[in-house]
Amino acid sequence: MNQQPATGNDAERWREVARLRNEHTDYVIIWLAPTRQFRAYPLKQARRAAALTAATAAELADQISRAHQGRR
Amino acid sequence: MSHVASPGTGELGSFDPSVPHPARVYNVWLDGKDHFESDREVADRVIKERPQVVDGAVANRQFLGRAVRYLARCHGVRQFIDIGTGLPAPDNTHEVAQMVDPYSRVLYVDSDPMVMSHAEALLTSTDEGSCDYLHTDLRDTAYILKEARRTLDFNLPVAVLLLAVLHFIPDEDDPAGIVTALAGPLTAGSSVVISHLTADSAPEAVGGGVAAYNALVPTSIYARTHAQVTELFEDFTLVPPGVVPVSEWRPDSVAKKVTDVYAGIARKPWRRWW
Repeated sequence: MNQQPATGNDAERWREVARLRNEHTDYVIIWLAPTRQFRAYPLKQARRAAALTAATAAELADQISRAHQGRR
Repeated sequence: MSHVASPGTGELGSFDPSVPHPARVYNVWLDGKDHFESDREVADRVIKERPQVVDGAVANRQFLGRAVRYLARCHGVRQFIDIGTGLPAPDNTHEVAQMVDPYSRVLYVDSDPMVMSHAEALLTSTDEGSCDYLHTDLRDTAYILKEARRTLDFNLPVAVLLLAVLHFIPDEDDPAGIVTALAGPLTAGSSVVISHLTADSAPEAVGGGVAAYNALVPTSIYARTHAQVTELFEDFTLVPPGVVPVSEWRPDSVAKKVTDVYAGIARKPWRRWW
């Protein structure tokens, strides 16, 4: 691994991931520490193409909500 | 337990490539590519003390595949909690399990931010099954079980995989208690799979490797004896051949003999009503 990854205080990000997991139980939520991004996958049929990516937890939550609305 | 880290407490710490992490050091020994200079330094120092560590890591990874196949094929287990997942490598747990039955469901648990950042490789489930990922410490057993229920049905057997992870738990944190906390609530027919570092066959050489590791990695490692590893299975019933060197647990091919890692599988007995 040659590229130096970004670093930062992740503790708050872990808490946001845990909160988003509780709020969106049909999604797997992860924090990509090296690239400073949140990502969400549908728990069922978790295709990579279905992944949602955002820089903030609020933005990711918004994307998940819109994905839900799109499926209705 | 002296320390419980969870997302709720914020004790999991930040991603820092200058601090070696067990999952990434292990990745060096597996000839992976997801590690940094700090991890390579630890891996190399341990190799100098105990070159067999590389064979041990490979044998442990092979045991993972054999254990999952055995439980899926011979005991019909379709649900797995893989704790201390490590960085993705060929034959991840869900790939092996879903090869047997695409409806298999897996929860991965790890505390390394690098593992989380590679989690998408662990989440490519079949449409019929599902994979979840949880970022937490294995000591946080209540949180793991609570979150596992959204993926797994606890009315059906579950296999808890604790491969090369309990040797990071000191005696004062009660590793046997962690196993009991995780496996106790599971239904009959559930299983516990454990592999664990030992110095039984080469106390000085393995001790040298452990010292080299613990001098550089914040998460210390502890070798345990055959009796101590066997005690970790508590009230579960060990499947033959019992707790044995990892390369000797039902080998499916001719493999190098590895004596620094013990492995075993135990099952929760079905209740007898008569």
